Order: sequence, then C-alpha cells, then structure tokens
Amino acid sequence: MAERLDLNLLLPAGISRRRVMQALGVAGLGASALSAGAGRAVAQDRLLNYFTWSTWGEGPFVEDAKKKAGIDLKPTFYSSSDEMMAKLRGGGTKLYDMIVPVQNYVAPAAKAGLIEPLDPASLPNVKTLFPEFQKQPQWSVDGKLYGVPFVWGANAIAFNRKETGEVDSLDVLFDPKWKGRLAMRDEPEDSLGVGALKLGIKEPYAMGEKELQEVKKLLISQKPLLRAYWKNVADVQNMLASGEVVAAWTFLAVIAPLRKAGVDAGWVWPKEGAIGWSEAITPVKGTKKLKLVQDYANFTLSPEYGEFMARTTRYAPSSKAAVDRLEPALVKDLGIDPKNVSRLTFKAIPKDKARWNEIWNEVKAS
Amino acid sequence: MAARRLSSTPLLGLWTALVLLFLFAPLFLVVLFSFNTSEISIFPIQGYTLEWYGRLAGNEAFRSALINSFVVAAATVVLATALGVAMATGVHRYGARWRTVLRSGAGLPMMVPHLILGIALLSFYNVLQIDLSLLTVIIGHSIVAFPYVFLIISARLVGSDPSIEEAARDLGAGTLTIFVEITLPLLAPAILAAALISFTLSFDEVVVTFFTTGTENTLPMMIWSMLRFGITPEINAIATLTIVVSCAMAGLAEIAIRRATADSTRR
Repeated sequence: MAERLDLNLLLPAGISRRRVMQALGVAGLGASALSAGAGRAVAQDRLLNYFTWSTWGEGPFVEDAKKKAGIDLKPTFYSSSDEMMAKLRGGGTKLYDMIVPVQNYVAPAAKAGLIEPLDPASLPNVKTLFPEFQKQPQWSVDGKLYGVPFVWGANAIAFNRKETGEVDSLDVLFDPKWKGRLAMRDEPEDSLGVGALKLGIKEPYAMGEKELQEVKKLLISQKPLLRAYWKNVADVQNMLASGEVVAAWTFLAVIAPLRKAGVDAGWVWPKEGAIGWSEAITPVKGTKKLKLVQDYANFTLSPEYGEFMARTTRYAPSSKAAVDRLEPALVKDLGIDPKNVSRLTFKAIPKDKARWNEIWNEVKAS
Repeated sequence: MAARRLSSTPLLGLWTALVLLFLFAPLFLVVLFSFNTSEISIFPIQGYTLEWYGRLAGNEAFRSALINSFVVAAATVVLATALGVAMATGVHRYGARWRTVLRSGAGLPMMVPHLILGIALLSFYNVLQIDLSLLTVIIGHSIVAFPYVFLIISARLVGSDPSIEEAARDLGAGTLTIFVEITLPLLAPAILAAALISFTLSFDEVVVTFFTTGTENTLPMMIWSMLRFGITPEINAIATLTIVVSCAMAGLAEIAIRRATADSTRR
C-alpha cells in the first residue's frame, strides 16, 4: 500500500490516502472482503493485463501471443484516448500492465506519471523497422523512450474514382465543382490540420493565433461545399457508398468495405501532406512485469506480428521485414508508401488546445 | 362530441402508428442489416446471411463479455431490488415528516450524470484501496438502478390500502409477518417490474461500467469500443441479440404482471 501521489489527484492537498482510510474506518476492507477480483496480485507469471483498443485485444491476437510468445493477454477495452487517460488517472494504473496510446497522448501520460519508460536494449526487433519509425520524436519524453510504434497510418483522402478521376491534392476538398458532395471530419486536430496543410503551414500543431485565423477563414469558405462534417466513420463510409459524397477526409478503414460493395474507391495522401498516427505498447506506471511487457512490445515489432496484423486488420505495420512478406498488391491496398512517410504530419496535442476547440466551434457555428 | 371522437379515431390511429414507427424503425434497421451480406449498412440489401452471427459465436471475447453482462445484471437485480424495496417500505411506513426529503434523496443518483458517477466511484474505490472487479461494477449498477426500484415500489405503496395491514395487526400479526404475508405479495408485480427494469438498465450500461470494471469487459463496453472504426455487421448482430433479450424481459414482465393482477383481483 505504498503512497502513490499520481493516484491522489482527486484528494485535497495535504490529506494522505491512509488518513482518509482511517477516518472512514475501513482500512481493512480493501485488503479483505472486496479484493476478490483478479488484480495483479493474483495474476499468473506470464499474464499481462492489457488495456487496449478492441482491435488489438481480439481473439486472434490473444491466441497469437499465447502461441508464438507464450504470453497470456487479458484485454480490457477502451474506446477513446481521453477515456483511457481518465481511467488511469483515477487509479487504473493498479489494474493494467500496458496500454496502447496514440502518439499525441504519450507526453501528457508521461507527465501525469501514468506510464513507464522501456529499455531500448530490450527491443532488438527495432532494427527491422522502417528507419522512420525507429526514432519517432513523439514517443520519447525527456530523453526516455515510452514505446516504438508497431502500427501506423494516415488520415487522408478517400475518393470515388468514377466521379473525380485520380486525385493527388487537397484541392479536391475545396473544389466548387463538387459542391455539396464533400465531407470533412468533425474533429479540431484533423480538420484544422487539413486547413493548415492546404495553406502550406509547416508545423500545423504549433500554429499561432494569426495562422489559426487564416485556417478558420479557409474552412469557413469551404463550408458551403460540404455535405457533412462526419463524426462516426460509418457515416462517411455510407455517404461514399451511396454516392452522396465523392471525396472525403477520412480513415483508410473505409476503403476495403467500399471496394467490396463495388465502389471504385481511391485512397491518396495528398501532395500537401497527410495526418499520421502511430500506436505502440507502453508499460503502465508501476507494473510489476516490466520485463514481460518489454518482451511483448518487442514481439509486436516482429515480422510475424506485423504480417499477421496486416492480414487480419489491414493496418500498416512499421516493420519493414513484415511489409517485405506481403504481396505488392496488398501493400498498395494498405496505403503503405514507405518512401512518403516523410510527408506525414504526426498529430500532436496543439499548444493551445482550448483555443483550437474554440476556433473549430466558430467554424462550425458560422 | 360523439362525432368528433369518431372522426378523430383514424387520425389517432395514424398518429400512434407514426410514433411507433419513429420509435422502432431504427431498431428494425439494425436487425435487418445484421443479416446483410455487405459490410456497409445502406440499401439496397445485397443478400441475406448468418455469417455475422457465426463470427460472434466463434468469438471468445464476445462470449465472456456476454457472460459478464448476465452475471452483473443478475446480481444488480438482487442488490438494487432488495435495497430499493427496503428503503421504499421504510420511508413509506416510518418516514413521517422526513418522507419528502428521503424520497428526493433516494432519487438523487438518477439526476447525477453517469460520467460523474463513474469517475466519482473510481476515485472512491481508489481511496478505499478496493480492487476493481465485476463486484465493483455490480455496486455501481446497483446505485444506478436503485432510484428506479425505489420510485416504482413507492408508487405502488402510495396506492395501496393501509387498512389491510391494520387489520392484520389487529388480528395479532407481528411486523415481520405483516411484511412477508401482506406487504410483499401486494408489492409482487411492482417488485417484478422493478427487477426487470434493473436488469435492462444494468445490461445496457456502459459509462459507469467502464470506470468501475477491473480487467473484465461487458457487452456494451465491447460494442462501444468496436464503434471506433465504424458500425460493422457484427455490431448489428450483437445489437439484435441485445434487443431480443430486452424484448423477452419486457414480455415476461407483462405476462407476470397480468398474472399477479388477476390473482389479486380474484382474492
């Protein structure tokens, strides 16, 4: 029952948890009657409690980890990064050994004391990755490494080739020819990011007020051309399938179902740039199984895992050795263009997040 | 007057039909698309298949989430109903001038947003060093369901005739005997309705569940996290199963309530 400051965010300053427990007269309660659940204390040796997106905790991944790495995964699902942070902040660090953050949440989680660095020497598979992913600045905080991404992707443009022909630029999303048949995402980092890329702003997530205002003006001028700002990816997928929308800023995940449904759907990282994301295994602060977490992190960087993941989920592995095992047609389908990774702008938490939200609300309300 | 009522009947029928359509059309679509061969939920339907249900049956994570949901819901029914019935009866009999205050106090958890309740419970458990598990979820769900039980039972108590219990007391029955022999049978339909509502509330709950669960998933948590990348036919299939369970519960409640009412009128 060591005192852990990071778990006490919700207590008034100066009151230790122990004192609160004594005051409530229930000091023994936690240890005895209610600890029936499978916490870390009763976990077996090779078991990792895995707090993750549902994709990485599905049956095939659990079986694969058991079979190839001899690790038992016990996944618990979250559905947004903010949810994940809130649960860890509220005491979830006691429950889980590892999480799968998106790169823009690494620094906030590290600063809040929710995650633990890993030893670079424990990840020999890093050598087999594309060089771009071996050293991703957002995965290190204060010189400590918090993860090496095993999966990555880009939010970019999906288009209906039959209607628009080939597309290579963001211009299509601002083309009056497609008035009422375009869609953007209802999320400030994505949509203001697109505006910044269109204006040629070098570091979108470090924009100042003047640039934000220009982006706002641009997006307001784009608004009459849009059919919708989509919130759920299923909505934009349906609109692309029905032909209501001919081009949209969206996720790669829409493409495969669209093609299966007979739509000639194209996918392109526009020449102005695309917005990238990456995810990695990161140890939770205070895990007693750091070594095993590192073993699993290294396993996710293996060619076997990368190939398996690409085939089952259609996400792009960061492992070059994995991509080498895939047929060229599949590589193209996955939207992997390793030569162009430098064109990606990896999403970061903007310096002034509140201001970004305000600007985005102003665009939507205009 | 009679003429007006006559002319309003078809209009009323139409209105009722529209309201029902508004309420049930989305559910119907979910069921329909769960049998669709295409992964995209748009018309026209491309063909019919049971593939998505087959995939669910083979999905270990889905099976354990389903079992967890049933376990939590069943335990919540017991806990919330027991507490709610006890509190409602107590307030009704012995509340005296505190009755109003106690009633609104009991309804309070209903007013608190689930998000706040979830985070509050999480930090509460953390302060007490209680390990999160399905047990903590059950406690959370019982707090959610408790006010509904309380309100349903209270409504029934207010409408009941106090002279029956007074008669029993005159004939020498003790408090416990009265409660078991008179009060509980009178409350039976209300208790059943409250239990079924608790079950449905618990079976659907996602926010409180997320914050109070340890390393277990429930069905709604699973659906919610799968939605990150869109609505797949598998989610439609899960939703269909959930709808079937809820409808079955409602149907059972209706039958039981009718029987209970028939019994009590016969007596």
